Amino acid sequence: MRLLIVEDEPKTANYLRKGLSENRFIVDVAVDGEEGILLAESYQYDLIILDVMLPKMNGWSILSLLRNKNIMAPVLFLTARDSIEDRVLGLELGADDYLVKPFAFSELLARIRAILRRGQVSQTELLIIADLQVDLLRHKAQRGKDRFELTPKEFALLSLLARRKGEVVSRTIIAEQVWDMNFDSNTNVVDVAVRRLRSKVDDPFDKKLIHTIRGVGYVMEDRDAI
Amino acid sequence: MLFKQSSMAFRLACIYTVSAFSILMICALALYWIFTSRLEKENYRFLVNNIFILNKIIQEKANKSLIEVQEALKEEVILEPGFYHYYVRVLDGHNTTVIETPKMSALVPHERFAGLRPERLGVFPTKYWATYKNKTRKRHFLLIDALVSSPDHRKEGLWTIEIGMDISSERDIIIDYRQGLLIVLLLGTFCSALLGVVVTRKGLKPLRDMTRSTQQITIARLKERLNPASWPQELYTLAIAVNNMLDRIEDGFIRLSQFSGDLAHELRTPITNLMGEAEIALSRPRTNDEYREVLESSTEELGRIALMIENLLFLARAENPRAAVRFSNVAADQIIKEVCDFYGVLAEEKNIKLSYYGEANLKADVLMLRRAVSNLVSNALIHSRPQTEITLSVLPKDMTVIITVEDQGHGIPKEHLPHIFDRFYRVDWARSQNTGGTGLGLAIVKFIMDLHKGKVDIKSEVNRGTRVSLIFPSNYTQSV
Repeated sequence: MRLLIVEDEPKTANYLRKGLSENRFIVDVAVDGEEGILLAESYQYDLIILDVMLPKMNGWSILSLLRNKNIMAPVLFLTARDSIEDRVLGLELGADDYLVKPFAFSELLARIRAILRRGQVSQTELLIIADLQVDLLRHKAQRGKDRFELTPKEFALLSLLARRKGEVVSRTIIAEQVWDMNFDSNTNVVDVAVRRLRSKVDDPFDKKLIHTIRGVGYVMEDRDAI
Repeated sequence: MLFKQSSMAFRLACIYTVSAFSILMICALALYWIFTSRLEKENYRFLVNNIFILNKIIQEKANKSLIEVQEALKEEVILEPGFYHYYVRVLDGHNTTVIETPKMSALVPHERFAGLRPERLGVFPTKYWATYKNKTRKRHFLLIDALVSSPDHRKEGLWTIEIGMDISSERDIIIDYRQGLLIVLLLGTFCSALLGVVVTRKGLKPLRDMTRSTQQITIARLKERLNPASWPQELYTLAIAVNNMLDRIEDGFIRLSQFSGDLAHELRTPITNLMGEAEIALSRPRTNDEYREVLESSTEELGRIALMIENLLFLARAENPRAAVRFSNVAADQIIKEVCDFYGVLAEEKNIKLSYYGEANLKADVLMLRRAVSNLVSNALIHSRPQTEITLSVLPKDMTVIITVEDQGHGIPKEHLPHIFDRFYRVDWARSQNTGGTGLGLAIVKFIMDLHKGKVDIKSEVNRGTRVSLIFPSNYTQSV
């Protein structure tokens, strides 16, 4: 997967490049709109990350120029400005998503993956991580031969983590996906819920599958397999 | 347009002058009319009287010779020059002069009467008068004539009496009078204009004083107020209104400066932590685990700052009058159920019973409503002891819908209640810092309710619990 980042702030560009490269993306960085358009014309990108406030040409103009040149790669906007009008303008111009600074890197990663996943319907009904099996169709989960007694929310949480196997899932995304709470709550509800899930899914077993990434979120993976 | 924009003093002076001018004008016209009509009446009486006398003399000499008639008329007609300024001519049926005042033909020739329509002696309507100006002699005359029976009824037709009255001096008087009136009018208007300017300047002095006093109130001296008692009635209310406005501005200003101070303070703590931790970590070589520890702690701290910024931006958006509130019909019971679901695990963990009841529909922004209720429940959970209950309810009442969150927690001391919805306000600083709150939760609740034109009611008793009610107004509610 090849990504283009158009960002003039060197620190931001640098950490984005580093973070995304480590997540197995090929990353190009352009420092302004002209260079960005030049690169977008030369290579086939799977996604373009555009900063709205750039010198010379802002993100919106770049987007309209790209679309005029028939470059249809999905675009994700990054911006420090957060007003409804900005959002609407970006989406009207054909942006695929919109992320307001400051954002967590895991959030960005999740959004990028969501955009790239679009259109590819996941056919899997059974998720398998080590000896864990999550049957999405029958709402059942088991490790080895032990079937778990899970509440619907616990199952939703487990399947979210399982579907995002290997990805760090932030508390915000968990709250949003499992409980439909679209804002950051300052309580540790998610932590408590994950702890409870762990007590059923991980605690009785030697091999732990749910890992805490402190300050970021949770990830489900088979660490022995890496 | 120009008049509307010009100064109030100018406008008042103008109005004053115009009305003074109008009054003077009306007076002058009235005086003039009274004076001239009075003169006219006198003249008319005089002329008619003379005609009667002449007629009487003629009729008395009926059937007498022409000489006798002339002799009889002589006394009335041949006047001493300069005594009476009038001239008489008597004509017989053939328009032959019987007798006339000397010099009359030169001053008032017979032809001048041709335009009049002589009637038989009777009523003399004023329109049968005429004025005549003898240009060569520069004299003005009032003319009247009358047809009378001849002394000899059968032989001759009607006789004519013509009188021309010299009204030159009278006209001079009238002209003088008119000029006098004009001068009085102009002088009076001028004086009243002058007076108007003086009066309005004096009258508007309090306004200037008030302007000066108001100008002295600056941001640095926002505490100062106008003293309403020192102004006249009309400005008294204005002064009170200005004072009230100043109260509101001062209040807002204090809040704003307090807010920016608080904001700086709120950011100071986490940034100090971040700086310190990073500095110490870098000051000497550390193990990988130690570095990790620092970075993890930093990420947590930064997450808290990001959350605070997100909340502040939400508040800033809510303050924007164009804030996009997407109203839809919401089943409030569904919302409280969702919130309870979300906090259920946490409540269980803390051994707190979380329950809800009631149902009602209302018109609200789903995301905001959920956020408001969620903030309240999260507060309740933070401030509750184990083995207590938190109850949510939603009930329609008197055209309103009330969502209540009631806990049996620590409660809030009375003195804090008025400030509880201020940003960054915390009842117990030390304890709240540990709970990781941003101090914005209730401010957000308040703003969400403002956007819904609703109210928040809070009742609390220390160590007994707190009850917060979100009251949605009638036009935002819907019958179930």
